[in-house]
Amino acid sequence: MTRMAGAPDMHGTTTLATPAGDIAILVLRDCFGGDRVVEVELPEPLAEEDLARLPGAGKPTVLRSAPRPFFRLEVPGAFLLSGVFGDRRVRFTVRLARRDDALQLVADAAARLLEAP
Amino acid sequence: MPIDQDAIVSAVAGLDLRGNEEGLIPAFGLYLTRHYADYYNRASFEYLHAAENRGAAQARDARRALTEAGHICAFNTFGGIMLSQEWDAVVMPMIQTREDWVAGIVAVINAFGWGRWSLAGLRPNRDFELIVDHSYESEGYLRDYPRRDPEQGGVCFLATGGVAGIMNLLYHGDITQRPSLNESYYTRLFQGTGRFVGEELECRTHGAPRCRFVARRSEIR
Repeated sequence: MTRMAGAPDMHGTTTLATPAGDIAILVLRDCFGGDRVVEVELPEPLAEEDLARLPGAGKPTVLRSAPRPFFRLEVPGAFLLSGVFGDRRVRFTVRLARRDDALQLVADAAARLLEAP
Repeated sequence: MPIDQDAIVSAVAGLDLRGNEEGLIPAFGLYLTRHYADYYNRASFEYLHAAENRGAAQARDARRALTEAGHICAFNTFGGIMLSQEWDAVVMPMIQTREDWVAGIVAVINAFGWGRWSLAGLRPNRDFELIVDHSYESEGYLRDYPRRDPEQGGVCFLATGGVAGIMNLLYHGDITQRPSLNESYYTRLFQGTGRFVGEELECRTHGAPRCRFVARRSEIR
């Protein structure tokens, strides 16, 4: 279980504490359509094999030919995760239906992504 | 410039941009829609014609409104793309100069099916000339309406707003500093003095082989 450290507003930066370390919230905003974007900085960058640990996730789209390997991964009904392998910043676009618990969802997902293999 | 347009178009095409169950496409940190060009064209051109039938002042207002839609698109869509992770992954590693940002966004736009955009001239902080082959606006117009008199002006309003928007994002504002794309920033970029404004110099609806645009500072027009 993760806990929120601090009470983030829609403009401020705060952190989510997880067993894998603190996660800085860089961007928190709502979108047209009602989804909530949560961009975070993880304690360490993700690798492709980390994505497989997300329960319920589909098959990732990976731009391996891009100068920096970009990825997108949909967890249907929950969120779209996107980022660049090797970069600590990732973005969760949390679906409207889960918007109210977006931060908890992000914290839990991040903890799973960062679990030791 | 080191921007590899083909690589960018190929990468964007590889993103498999599809709508979710709500018909929205979350990409580039934005929501895109797969929109019927005919629908937007018809609404725009019928509005334009209705205004033209009412008089010169109404026509001028309609042209301003349709171009303003292009400004808003440029600010949110092009600006959002330039702040996105996809941009960081695909385009940013190729960028060495501010002018490369212009070439980069033109390359991304070429993956959207709006016609073939080509950078014809760019004088940093002064003007930007763009050529568009088969712009979707001129294509739609020529299919449904007769050719226009050049004195009536072109019909590629989104591209006209877009060319100004690119310059405003890069040389009037500074998208490279990752500003918040909010209303006050929009107002500063598109309504203040010294902003860039677009003009369609040639349009296929007048018989030109392609559409040509320029963006210049409003104070020196």
